Amino acid sequence: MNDFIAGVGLVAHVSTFLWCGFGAALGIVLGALPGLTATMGIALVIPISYQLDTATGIGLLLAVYCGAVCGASIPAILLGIPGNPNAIATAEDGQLMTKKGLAGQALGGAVIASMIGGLGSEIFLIFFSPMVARMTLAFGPAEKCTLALVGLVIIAAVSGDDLLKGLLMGALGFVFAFLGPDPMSGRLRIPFASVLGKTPFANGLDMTSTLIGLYGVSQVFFELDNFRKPQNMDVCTDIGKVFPPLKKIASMWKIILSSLGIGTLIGSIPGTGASIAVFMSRNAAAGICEHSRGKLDKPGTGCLEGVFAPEVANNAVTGGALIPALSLGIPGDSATAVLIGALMINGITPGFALFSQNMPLVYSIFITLLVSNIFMGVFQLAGVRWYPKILLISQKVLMPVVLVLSFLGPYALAGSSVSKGVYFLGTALGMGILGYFMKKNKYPIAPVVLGLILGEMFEEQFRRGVKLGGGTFSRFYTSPICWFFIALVVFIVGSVVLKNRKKENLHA
Amino acid sequence: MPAVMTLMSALYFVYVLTGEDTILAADAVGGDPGGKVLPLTMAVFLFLGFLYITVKERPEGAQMDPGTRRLFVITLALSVLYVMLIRHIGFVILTTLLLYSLEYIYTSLGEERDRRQAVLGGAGTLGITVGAFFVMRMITRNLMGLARAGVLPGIFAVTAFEACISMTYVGLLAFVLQKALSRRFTGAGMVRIRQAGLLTTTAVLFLYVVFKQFFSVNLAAGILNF
Amino acid sequence: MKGKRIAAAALAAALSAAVLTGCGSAEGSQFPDPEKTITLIVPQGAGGGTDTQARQLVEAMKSVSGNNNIIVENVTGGSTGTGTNQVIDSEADGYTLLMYGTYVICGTMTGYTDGFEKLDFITGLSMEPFVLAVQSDSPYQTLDELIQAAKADAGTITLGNAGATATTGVVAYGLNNALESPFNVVSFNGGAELIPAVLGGHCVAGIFSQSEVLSNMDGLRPLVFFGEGHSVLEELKNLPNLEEAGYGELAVPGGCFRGICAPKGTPEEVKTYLADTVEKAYNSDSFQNWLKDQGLLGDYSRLGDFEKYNQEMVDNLKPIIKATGLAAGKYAE
Repeated sequence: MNDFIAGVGLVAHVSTFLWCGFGAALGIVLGALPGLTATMGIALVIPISYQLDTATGIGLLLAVYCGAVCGASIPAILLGIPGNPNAIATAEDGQLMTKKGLAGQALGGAVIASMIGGLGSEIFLIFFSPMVARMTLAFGPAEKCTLALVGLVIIAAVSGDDLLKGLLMGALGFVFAFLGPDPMSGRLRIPFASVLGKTPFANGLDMTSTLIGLYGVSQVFFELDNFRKPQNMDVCTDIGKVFPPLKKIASMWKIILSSLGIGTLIGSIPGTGASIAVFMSRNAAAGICEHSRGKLDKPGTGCLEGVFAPEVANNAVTGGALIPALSLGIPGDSATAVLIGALMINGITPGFALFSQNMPLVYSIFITLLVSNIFMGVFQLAGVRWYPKILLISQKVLMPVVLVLSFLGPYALAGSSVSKGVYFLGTALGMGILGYFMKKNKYPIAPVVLGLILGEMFEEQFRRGVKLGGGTFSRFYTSPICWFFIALVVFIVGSVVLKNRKKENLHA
Repeated sequence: MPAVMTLMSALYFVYVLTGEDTILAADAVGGDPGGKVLPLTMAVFLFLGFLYITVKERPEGAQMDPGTRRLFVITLALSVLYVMLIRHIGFVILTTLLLYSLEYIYTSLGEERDRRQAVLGGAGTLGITVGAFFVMRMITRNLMGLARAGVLPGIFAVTAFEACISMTYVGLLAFVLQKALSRRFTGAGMVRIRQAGLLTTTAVLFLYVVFKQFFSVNLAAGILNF
Repeated sequence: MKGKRIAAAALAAALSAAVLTGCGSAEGSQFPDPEKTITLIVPQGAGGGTDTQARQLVEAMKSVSGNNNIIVENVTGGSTGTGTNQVIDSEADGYTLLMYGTYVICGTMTGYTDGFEKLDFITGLSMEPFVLAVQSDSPYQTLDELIQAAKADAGTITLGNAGATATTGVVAYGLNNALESPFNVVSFNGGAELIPAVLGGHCVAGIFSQSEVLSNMDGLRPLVFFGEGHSVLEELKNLPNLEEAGYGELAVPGGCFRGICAPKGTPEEVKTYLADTVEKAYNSDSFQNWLKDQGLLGDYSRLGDFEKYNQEMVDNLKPIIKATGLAAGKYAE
């Protein structure tokens, strides 16, 4: 208790709250701009955080982190382009709701969901961090490899109507990842290595440039089709009610709980991150809706359920990812990796020592996280009426700006090197064209992106798992966790195949 | 598309198979499966999957109409030019031209166009943007220099503060331009140019301030290198 | 109408004057230009030991020079070759610097980069010793027990490292080679991957940098200290070194050296300015205290001395890397 009071003392200062508020607002803007990620946002404010008191500085970083995760839902809902990977799963239902004229409810719902996710996962963080930390140690390379497979199969199953197309696109994403250097020896594998090996392509395709290309640039080309058709002028100027009815939220308690659990759990497994969690929770929500006897709508039909599930999960990941980050110094995702770096600059070495010797600081971190989540919600709700103004602008005016922003994102990622920026730009443009043809031919995009994100982890952990087993698969078949994951893959594929059979029989 | 992808996956399979093994010589103990196993598996899966789709699915005759195709080609050509030239010409000039051209072409679709007007509008936009950019850089640069020399308080040497000054400048400029231009360009064609130009100038300067001055991203300087 | 024209002319004149003075003031300005950013490129991931030290140094540099326009950028990949190559390829104007380390020497000899041959040396900073550790529940109490167990059934004991061509990788492969391959050496992607693998029992032993062991003292049992003498840290000061553990004849790198480099061809006065700034930052209380807390050994040298010191390290490492079979090009001959 004394530790807790000391912790409160560390943050009981106006400046702490001001910086948390600033961080949350900045995070929302960064998250909403395509191409700027939570990771980058944190990296950008590290220099500022260093100038502040340790507790305040960490509060600023956490606020940017939460804000960026939440802000990504704004463009996902209004434009169908996720601001960063955290909102991949929100885009479909969010965009459909906007088309139905329910943009306000979608935006408001996303904020409420994010707050529930953020605050809920913080409870997990506070009470379960020692336990979960011990649990994640059970995940060795073999388990992580099968987990990556689960993530990919889930996304292939939930995006698009055709499982085969989804799986093929996932495999394509894996191949994109395999263009990078061999993860064990570091040898180059890019084609024409003698020429491309000297360029940034030596590291394979840049993930975020690819993401921006597939989502941003391709969208511009795709919209060209609609320019010559008569424009639908009655864009919804009124976003409608912002607060979804409380009854509706209450009726979704099962979805909220499952997404919260999935988000926190996946977040706390090192190296996984929000991209898996959002699709897993959306899938889980679909299952819950099916057994609700019509009380809940199915995600994918443009309903609040489809926005709530991934938005609860992605902010739950933030709390979850902090569990191993604080207790073991192992990052849960790329954003927390940067966060750990920032903590160390601020004079904190994460690990058991932090929990055993510096409990007041741990409490102060918990408190600032709480404050940041609240600020995040308040700011995004306060601005919610302003965001749909984007929709008032004609697509003809907006698309060139989206194109320029999509070209700027890769640049910003390349940092100080202009030539690297140009390569990233080229990647974004090339992937934009590919994405255009994929959309035209009705191939889902999300599995490619997830394949690219998970491909490296999948291959690396697979190789390591086999190597650790002395060249055999013993690490895989002796692990009950692996069996569980493999069973999950079989179950997902099986259930989708069965469902499609049923559908075909009905039509026949 | 499936046919092309089938061919691509076959080529990838051959490429991986003929490539050198990427395994480490020092890894003799333990048995690393090597860097080819998974790529080959994926190539086989892609090949079979796309082959199945090619055979099973009849290609749909969803062709682009000529007008849209022209728009697609123009957008693609401008984008490619942008990527190729950005190193040499620089962010400010090239982004201004790209943004203005696309804005004008898209918004004037299906309406009458006056080419001379459009080109003059583009040149004017470029002139105003570059001029305003120079003035903005002068202000912050000199303020920073004075602060370094100790004439002004130290806060003027902080990049974030300088960025705030630039941001105010961009806001004022947009406001003034809006007021100054709204009276003069009122014809139907002129309104389009005015809107495209104003949006372009403001957006380019705003993006410059956010990325370059706030976040120190190294935007290609190109010709405007000072 | 006339008034407007005069105003327009005045504006044009003001603009051109601004442009001219602007160009004038840009020329002949001395290093560093207050508007240009100095970027210190760290070829390793954020949050690791190298990254932390770079950030610590940059903060110290900011406070001693009064120039806040210095940033750290992490450029990962290619076994640290990507970041190194990016520095080599950038302009030699002093605005792009490299967080140099033993890993660059290893990367050069294994053929991932032209490395130290294309760099100018500014300042040598510190040495972080390596430690071999096992999980605290592990049955092995000493290095000898571990090696005997590995020899008894070759290939069953796994020995982790932070990357095949990282310095810990060279240590692991070097150790294995000298002992005639009793271990199954497994490369991980940095210390952040290796620590949980050893803590979780997925990998028997690992080669860590000292600070990684320090922050996980509860879960890890250190067996041997690779550096010279003993650790300066209270927690690790009784840890036996290689000689005391009975393996004094093993020649492996004892730790990771770090320093600051610039692209080859950087002007002398710029290098001198940078070396002076880094020297002040190095001697600042905050940086010295940080070094002490982390158990890092100060290993200061500047410009020419640093280059000479580097050559010594290269000469020492060459036979070791050649023996591991990782060397490429002229270093394999």
